[in-house]
Amino acid sequence: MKNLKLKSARAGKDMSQDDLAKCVGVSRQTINAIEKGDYNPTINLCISICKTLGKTLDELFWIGDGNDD
Amino acid sequence: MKQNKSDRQKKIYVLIFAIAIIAFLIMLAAYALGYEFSHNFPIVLGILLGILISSGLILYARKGNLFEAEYDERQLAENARADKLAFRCAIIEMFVIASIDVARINVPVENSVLLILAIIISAGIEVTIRIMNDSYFALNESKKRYGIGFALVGVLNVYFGISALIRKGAFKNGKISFEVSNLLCGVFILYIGIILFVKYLIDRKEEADEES
Repeated sequence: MKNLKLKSARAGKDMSQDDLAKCVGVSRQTINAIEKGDYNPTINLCISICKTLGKTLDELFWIGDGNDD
Repeated sequence: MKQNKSDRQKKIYVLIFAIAIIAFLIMLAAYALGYEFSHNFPIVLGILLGILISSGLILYARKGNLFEAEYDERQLAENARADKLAFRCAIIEMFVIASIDVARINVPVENSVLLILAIIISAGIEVTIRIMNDSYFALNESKKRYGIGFALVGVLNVYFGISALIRKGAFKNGKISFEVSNLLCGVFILYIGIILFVKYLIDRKEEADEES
C-alpha cells in the first residue's frame, strides 16, 4: 500500500527522497521503499521522519478507512 | 537510524585482520630465509595477500574506517535475508560435493575447483540479492571507490588467472585444476560489475520518475 501522505508531506517541504534520507540517516532507496509501501519502517524511523517533516505519526502513517491512500 | 557494529564484532574483525597480517609477515620472512612450509606455500601466501589487498580496498572505499559499516534498518533486514539464502545454498552445494566424493563419481573437475565454484555461487546469490535491494553498499561507503577497487581486483585476478593457465595449463590428470581459480574470481567480479550497472540503470530511471 503506497504511502502518498509521506510523499506529499515531503514534497510540501520541498525535499527530495535523498534530502529526507540524509536527514533521518537512511538510504534514499529506503525512503523510496516506504513511499511505495514495499517496506514497513520501525517506530523509531517513523518518529524520525515525522520530526523531520514536522508531522505527527497519525498524519503520516495511520491507515484509516480507505481514504488515507 | 544508522545501525553500527558492536564493539565485540569490531574486536573480532580486528583479531582476524591482525592474525592475517602476522601470518603473512611470518611466512614472508620464512620464505626470504629460504624455508618452505609445504609445496602449497605460494597458494597460502596468495590467499593472505588477497585478504590484505581486500582490507586495503575496503579501507579506501570506507574512507579510512575499516570496521565501521553503517547500514540502515531495511538494509540490515535485506542483508540477513541474503545471508540466509546464501548459507542454505552453500549447505546444498557442500552436500552435493560430498556426495560426489563419497560416491566416487568421476567429474572432470578437481574437488578444490568444485569448492571454489560453490563459494562463488553462494557469494553470487548473496551479492545479487543485496545489490538489487540496495543493501550492498553501506551508507558510509563510496560506490565510486568500490568500483575502482573491484576493477583493480578483477584485472589482477584475470591477469594471474591467464598467466597461470599459460604457465601450467587448465588441466591436471585430465581434470580442470586449481589454476583456473583466479580466472573464476575474475569472472565473478565481472558479474558483480554487470549487476551493479543494471542496478544503476534501474536507480536512474527511478530517480527520473520521482522528479517527473
